[in-house]
Amino acid sequence: MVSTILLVDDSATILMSMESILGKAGFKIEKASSGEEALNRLDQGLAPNLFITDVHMPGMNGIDLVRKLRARAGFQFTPILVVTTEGQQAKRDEARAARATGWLVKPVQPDDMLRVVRQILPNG
Amino acid sequence: MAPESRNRRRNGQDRVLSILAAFAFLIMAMAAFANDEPAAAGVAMLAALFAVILWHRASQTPEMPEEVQELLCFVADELAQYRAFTRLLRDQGGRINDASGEAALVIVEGLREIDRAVETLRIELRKTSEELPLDAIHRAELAQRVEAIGRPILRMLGCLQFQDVTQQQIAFLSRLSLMVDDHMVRLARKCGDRRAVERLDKFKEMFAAALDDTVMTNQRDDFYAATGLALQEEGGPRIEMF
Repeated sequence: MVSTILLVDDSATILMSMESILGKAGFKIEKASSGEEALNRLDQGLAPNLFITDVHMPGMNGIDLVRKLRARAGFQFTPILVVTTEGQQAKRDEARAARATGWLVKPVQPDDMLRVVRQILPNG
Repeated sequence: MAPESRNRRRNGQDRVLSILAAFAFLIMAMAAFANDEPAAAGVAMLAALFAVILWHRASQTPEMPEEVQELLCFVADELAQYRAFTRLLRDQGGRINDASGEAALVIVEGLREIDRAVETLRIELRKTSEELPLDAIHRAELAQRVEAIGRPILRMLGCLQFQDVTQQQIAFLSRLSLMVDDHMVRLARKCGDRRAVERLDKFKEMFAAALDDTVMTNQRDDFYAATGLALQEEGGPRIEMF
């Protein structure tokens, strides 16, 4: 079965480029331009196998999204990768405390991204 | 007299005058409620006393030397102009963000389109390779060329993250600039009214030079906005044939 990845980023460019990179590798891609939209998609029944979220977004930030996801039934253990330009250790610690699965600092090379995603979703 | 004892004496006088003023004010307030002539005369007398006290107090307030006042206004005026510069820098940051964001979006859309076309080509080539009047060597060459076209696309898509990185860097510069700006506002307030002194010629020249260096209409518009002028330049057509 094809794994679904929900990409959350306020940048349309990032969403589209990530969709292409991961889509070419055979994953099914869903997109949301904010944390709120991501949660709405879940309310509508979407159940991704992996979340990839940005940190700095208008409204709900990526770390808050991680907290909200962890508080939801069914998503306590779903992997969440935080992909961000933020390099601050304190923020990274915050994400770790919120129980994010990983932290990738932009720009991430497509090969590195695919390697990490395949590590999390080995069955594609 | 030693400065210390002079200060102590002045403080003592101030305290006595404060008590007298408070006392006079209290009597005036009480007399205002007494509606007869002696009381009114008392009010007039106390008002006069109150005025004398206030005058005396005012005359005790040290005057700031004119040179210092001018200097403070001079500094405040400079600060106001530094603020105009920082605002101009922030505006340019916004322009860079907008322009790079739009360009990145067009590039990513284009790359995806190329990627889809390459994929179609790859499938078609596989499907029809036996029908094509090509020998095996040519077919392999063709397939390799298609692969070569598609290979850089992934890396280029990854590189488009530059836009997000640039945006964050500019946002950081903008935040720093706002901090400096806020500091300058507070400093200027302490210095007094900047309008009291004419703008510095040197600064004017520098600012004018900055305008001369700008190339784009929107930069010039930002410049006008930073100087407080609500002026928009005519942009002209995007393409013009002479």
